Amino acid sequence: MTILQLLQRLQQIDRRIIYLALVTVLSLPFFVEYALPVYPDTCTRQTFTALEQLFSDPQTRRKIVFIISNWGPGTSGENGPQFEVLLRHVLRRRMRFIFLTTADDPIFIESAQLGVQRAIGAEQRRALAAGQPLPEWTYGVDYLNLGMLPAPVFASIADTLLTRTLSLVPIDYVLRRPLTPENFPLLENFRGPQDIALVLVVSAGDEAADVCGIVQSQLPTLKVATATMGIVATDLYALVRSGQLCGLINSARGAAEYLSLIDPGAPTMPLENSMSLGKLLLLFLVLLGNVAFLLTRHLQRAGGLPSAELPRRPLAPLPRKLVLALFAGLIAGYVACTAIEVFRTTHYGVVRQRLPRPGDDPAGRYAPYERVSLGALRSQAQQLSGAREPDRAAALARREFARLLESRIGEFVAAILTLGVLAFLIGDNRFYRVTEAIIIGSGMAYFLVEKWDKVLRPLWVEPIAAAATGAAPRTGMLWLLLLLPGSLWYFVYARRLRWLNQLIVALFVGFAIGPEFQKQVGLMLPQIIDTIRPVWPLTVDGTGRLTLDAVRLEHLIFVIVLVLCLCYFIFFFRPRGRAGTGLLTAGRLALMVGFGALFGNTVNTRLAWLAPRIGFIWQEWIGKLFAT
Amino acid sequence: MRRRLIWAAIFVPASIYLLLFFTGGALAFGPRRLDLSPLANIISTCVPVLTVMAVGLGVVNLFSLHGAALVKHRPEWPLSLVVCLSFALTFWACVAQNRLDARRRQLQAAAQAARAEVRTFQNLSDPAPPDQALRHLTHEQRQALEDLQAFEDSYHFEPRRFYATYVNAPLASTVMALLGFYITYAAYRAFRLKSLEATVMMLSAAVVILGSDPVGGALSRGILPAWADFDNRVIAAGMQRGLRLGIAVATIAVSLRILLGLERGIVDVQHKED
Amino acid sequence: MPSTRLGRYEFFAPRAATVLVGLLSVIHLAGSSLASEADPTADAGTIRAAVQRGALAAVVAAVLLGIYAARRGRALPIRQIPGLLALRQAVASAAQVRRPSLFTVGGAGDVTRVQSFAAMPLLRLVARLSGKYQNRLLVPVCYPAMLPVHTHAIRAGLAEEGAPEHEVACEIRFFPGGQFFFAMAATGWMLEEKPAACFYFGWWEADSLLFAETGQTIQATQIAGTDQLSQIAFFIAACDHTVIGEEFWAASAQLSRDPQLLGSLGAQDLVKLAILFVILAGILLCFHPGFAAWIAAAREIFVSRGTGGA
Repeated sequence: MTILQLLQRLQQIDRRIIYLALVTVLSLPFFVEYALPVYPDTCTRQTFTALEQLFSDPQTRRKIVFIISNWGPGTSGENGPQFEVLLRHVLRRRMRFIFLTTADDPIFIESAQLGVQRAIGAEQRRALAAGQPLPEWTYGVDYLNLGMLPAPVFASIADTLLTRTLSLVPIDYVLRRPLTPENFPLLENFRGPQDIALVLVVSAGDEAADVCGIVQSQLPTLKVATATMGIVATDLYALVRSGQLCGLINSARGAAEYLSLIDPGAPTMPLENSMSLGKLLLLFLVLLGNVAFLLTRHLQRAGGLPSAELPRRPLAPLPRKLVLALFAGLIAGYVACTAIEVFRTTHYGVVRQRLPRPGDDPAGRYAPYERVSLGALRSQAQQLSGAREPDRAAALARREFARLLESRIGEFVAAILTLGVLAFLIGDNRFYRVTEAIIIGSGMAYFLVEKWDKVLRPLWVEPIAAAATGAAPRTGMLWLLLLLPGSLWYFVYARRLRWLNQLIVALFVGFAIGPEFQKQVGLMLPQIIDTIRPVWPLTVDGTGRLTLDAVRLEHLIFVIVLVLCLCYFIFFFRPRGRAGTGLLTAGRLALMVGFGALFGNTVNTRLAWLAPRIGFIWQEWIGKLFAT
Repeated sequence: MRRRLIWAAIFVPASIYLLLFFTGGALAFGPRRLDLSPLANIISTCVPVLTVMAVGLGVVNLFSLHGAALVKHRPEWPLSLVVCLSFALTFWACVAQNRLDARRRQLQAAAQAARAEVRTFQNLSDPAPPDQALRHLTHEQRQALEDLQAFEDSYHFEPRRFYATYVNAPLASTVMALLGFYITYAAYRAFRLKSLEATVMMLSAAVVILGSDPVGGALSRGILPAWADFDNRVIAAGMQRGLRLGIAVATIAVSLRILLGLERGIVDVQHKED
Repeated sequence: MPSTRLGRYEFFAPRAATVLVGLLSVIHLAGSSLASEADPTADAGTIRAAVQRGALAAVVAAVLLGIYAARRGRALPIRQIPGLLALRQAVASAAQVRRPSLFTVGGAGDVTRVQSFAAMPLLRLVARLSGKYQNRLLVPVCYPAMLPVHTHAIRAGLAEEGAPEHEVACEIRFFPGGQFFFAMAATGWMLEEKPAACFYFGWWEADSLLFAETGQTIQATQIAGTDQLSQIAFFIAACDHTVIGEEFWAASAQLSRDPQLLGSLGAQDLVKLAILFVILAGILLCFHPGFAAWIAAAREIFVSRGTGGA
């Protein structure tokens, strides 16, 4: 192989080799622990300061923090640490809070509930380590879970959610009790948006922008902060600059930075280390590719060869024997893990998370998991309930044991499905195809049931049934009229009356364009007004000296970039002469810098999705095998 | 006529939103006031319900394909069988869960009176009977409470929750995790110093990636994070605001064109059918 | 050829509606002015609402003026959008190599997003070209309610080409389960069918890279267009052509060459220039201390002063 060929190969490394390198690199921190220094950025510091001031203000301390938690296991790599660290701040300052989700999947509210428990556990561990008494937070007094309020489009519910919350949510999620101050003392001080100290949006999307554009435009004193993924956070910086957002936590990095502000000196977690290594590998590969590219071009020019684009090569299938060996190894490994787990569960008990205990050595390090037998669970249940109800203690212990066992079985199911999806990376294969078929079939069934349970039954069937039985006013029967437009969907199959289907489609076009007018104007005006600020960076200070105002200089650059990008999309503008071409080129370059920043933020987000899955395989699925 | 009806179907709901916006949710005629917010509530109910009513289209589309593969014994029939089996199993799981939930609701409803009776004696942090209030309950009320407690204290396999937690969620999050692999390869393949624009984009991305990483911060003693911060807060934010202002105007303009029936190709009727 | 004249009814109804809304607004303002006199704290809210409505009315008026001007033959010429020019060539190339084309609005393009509908003129064009070249067209769909939307666009495109019988070669497949399940199944379909031209338009979220990279592995020509700025970077990295932001919204005007749509596009540009003028004039006026105080007051009304604002 010549040097030129080698360099060309380096520019076109088989993607599967890169994937393997990435998995290896991401897995290392789960076996080797180390700490990295963290430098909180300006936005994170400002968020911390803003929330600290808010939580210290006697006026706002009487109010509650309203948390919209729209994240699930899919985005737990970024949103999980964000939720936990923000909640730790809220808990530490003894601010009362309520939380809910507008996603229509119970896993979202359960992720939030788990996040609350983890945050409480973390604060308790911190207190123990600091020699303080174990702090406690009481459900219904200090915090409340309002459950799910499904909204396919958040913008359509944003206003009502914050201005008429209690009219939308009838019972709480945990105890299933009516939301009255008698049931939940926290509600004594919550009547409406005037009692909200802060709206905290932790999500994978930009719901905070809807809160700002739709709700805050009517209630400008409403404080809104958000924690979201890097790729979405970049969109929201503009809202921070305009003051519409008082805080923004950007991706898992932002969570780590925030943790360093509330807990200075805390070490970086394996997840953060894993993402760090992933980013370094990415940059190394980019560097490698570019070095190879530049050397190739140099050699081609030196050799008098034309510099040609490298031909695109299709993804070659792996050798059949290699594929068979891979899958055989996978199946053998899975069977071995199953056998080990069955043996250890039978002999030592079922695996569970180890919680901090009052007697723990503050300087000690304890394993994250432990095995517990049914007998041990029964003893613990009896200690908690005392000698009053020995039968109940036994039943509770059996229930807990069964739930832990179910959880462990579930992890094995999740592991094989995870591996099935990852098999897509090596190309088209049977294992992946079967997983895909399971995705399609189960996805369809779940989709049908979810839509019935979350939308059709509560919003349509139950009001009609209540009206029919007299439990609600008879006008509820008018909802039956929805059958008329609803049936129009199926006229797409009719030959002659096909146009009737276009009526329902047109109706949805109307529903889609209707809110856009208010939303776009509500977002646009504050941004225009916020852009109008002094930009001349040279100011005269008190002693008469000329100084450079950094904030104004930044704003000047901001305005220049804004003008260039806005001008780039003037469609009737045709570049004439060097000035016009120069303007377009400058606009294009500004766009490329911006998109590069977006790409960079997205790298953080995507690796924050990948690292937890790798972590699940090593720490949860395989790691728990060896718990004692 | 058909064209006008279709246009009216676009115009009416969009106009309601415009009316709500321009009137602030209420029409004021001197001292009298007409509240329009029920309109907003009706629309917010109609939209999701009507969306769900289309689900039959998806069922027909999916099962016509896989059903035909099974019936006609096409080469891909084993995968179609897996589709149908996983559909059936998941559907059973969800239906079984509904039965369990119905039983739970029935017990809760039966115990509701008893719970109301003892409400004032319940302590949220220790809801453990027995206490004084139980003495005032009837035998039936006490039995209902005991039945509910026995149900909640015992373990019930919840198939739908199992599916959502251990099948659906891991599948979805692993699919998302694939993006980590793809973005790494996309960066390696696409970021080449081929032109000024490509170079600029690559450098900007590299600064943000490294600046957002603790290693980058440690190596540069905080300089790279500051540059990344500047890139995000100033340049990317300026670019975004510039584009967003334009997109906002464009969205309003296109929505207006659709509203006025000027935009063809959105929902169209052929001239000969008109 | 699309009609370039509005029928009398279509022209009358929008004017009537505009008058009606304006009248109601006047009635409302007249009614609410009495209320605000009684409650001074309502002033800021009234000002904000009035300015928002005024701004929207100004943009709407500008767009309507642009349309009027275009009807009188005064439309401004616009520049070409490269991504849209490449679209025709991509379908033709796919037909040459006898591989299908693929069009999708992605896993987030549901029926409540106006971007999904804005992508339909492009699907219509792709369908028309597929009919012209007698090439297969694959359309994966994530939401059942979008099935008829796609069906109508394809039928309309084929009817324009005079090839309605080609509908049998256009396959619309529904993949359930939400954005990511859809992306997995649809990309699996791509691996199976190996389309030579892939088109991604509409509201895109994270699944954009799944499609774009899969298209790379099968060496498809890829053209994408969205106003989701966060996804554009991926499309730029992985696709052959990308239609960015506003260009996506201008697509239907450019494709149809309808003077009224082009006129509205010109009006949009004038609105943007007006916004630029307001911003630059405001910045210049900031040198005046009186104006600086006034703009700070305006920021109080329109922009919530969170303590973290830069």
